[in-house]
Amino acid sequence: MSLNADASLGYVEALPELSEPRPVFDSKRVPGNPAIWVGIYSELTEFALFFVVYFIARAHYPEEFSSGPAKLHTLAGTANTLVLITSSYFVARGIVALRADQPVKAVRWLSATVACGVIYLLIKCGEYLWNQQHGIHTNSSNFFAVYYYTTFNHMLHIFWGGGGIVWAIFRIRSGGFTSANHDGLIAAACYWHMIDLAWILIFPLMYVLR
Amino acid sequence: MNLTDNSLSARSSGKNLDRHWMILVGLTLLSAVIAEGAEPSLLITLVISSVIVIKARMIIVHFMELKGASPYIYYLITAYFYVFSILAILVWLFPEPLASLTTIR
Repeated sequence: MSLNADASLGYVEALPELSEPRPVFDSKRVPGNPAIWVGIYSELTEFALFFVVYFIARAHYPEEFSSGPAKLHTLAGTANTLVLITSSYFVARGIVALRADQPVKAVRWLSATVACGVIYLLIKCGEYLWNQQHGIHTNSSNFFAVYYYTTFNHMLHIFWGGGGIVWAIFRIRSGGFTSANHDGLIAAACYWHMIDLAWILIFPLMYVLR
Repeated sequence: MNLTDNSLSARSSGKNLDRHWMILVGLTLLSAVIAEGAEPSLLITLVISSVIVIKARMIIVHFMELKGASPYIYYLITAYFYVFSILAILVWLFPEPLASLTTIR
């Protein structure tokens, strides 16, 4: 059984392990701060435009979008999906550790998140290199043009998302973020999760759907 | 909460996150197997679209804990994944009408 805090009732209730927590919406609670959510929804809008372009191009060039994914390095795409999911898990564990007043553990989890970001970038660079060696360029087909635009844009987000996590690590180490006050960490974490969420759509669209 | 309560709660939350991480890894590997072996079909598209929604909801609910936040934030970000998953199915089912609709004449 897992423990779920019911904020409205003020007690801790036992729920089945994998059930979703009951909604206890707090209309005034914005995780992190409002500014980060403006940023997150702006980024998701940008990715939404890429996805709309993908779907329109797919409807116009079904052959290219059917054969394109098979030419990509599926293992690299899968490995990066696993790395990003694991990084999101590490961020969540870092927040749990800081809430439990364990800043050293929190720093370790968040450092592992940054390491995942670096691994992601290395795999992505290796994948692009492999593509070049196999004649896959931005102008090879409409599918590959959309693939490069979307995945390169996503890769850039890993840079500044990782920068946010590094900043949170420094704030925890300097005592700026504590178990009682860590809204900045929540904001950086939500942004990092958004990057992971975008990849959850990119991976099946680019590597799986034929 | 005192220190012991905090530690117990952290351990319990940690175990919960462990389980959801393992499910996410499993769903990713399922997608990879589909990518490598399965022939394109409506069923496969439905499975892939469902996996997108399930994975996104797990991250939104369990990693981001948005069910304790403003409902506007939760429903908007959840709807995003339903919309694009449904679009993937619609594009599979009706590619010609979409191509016709988006052709500049």
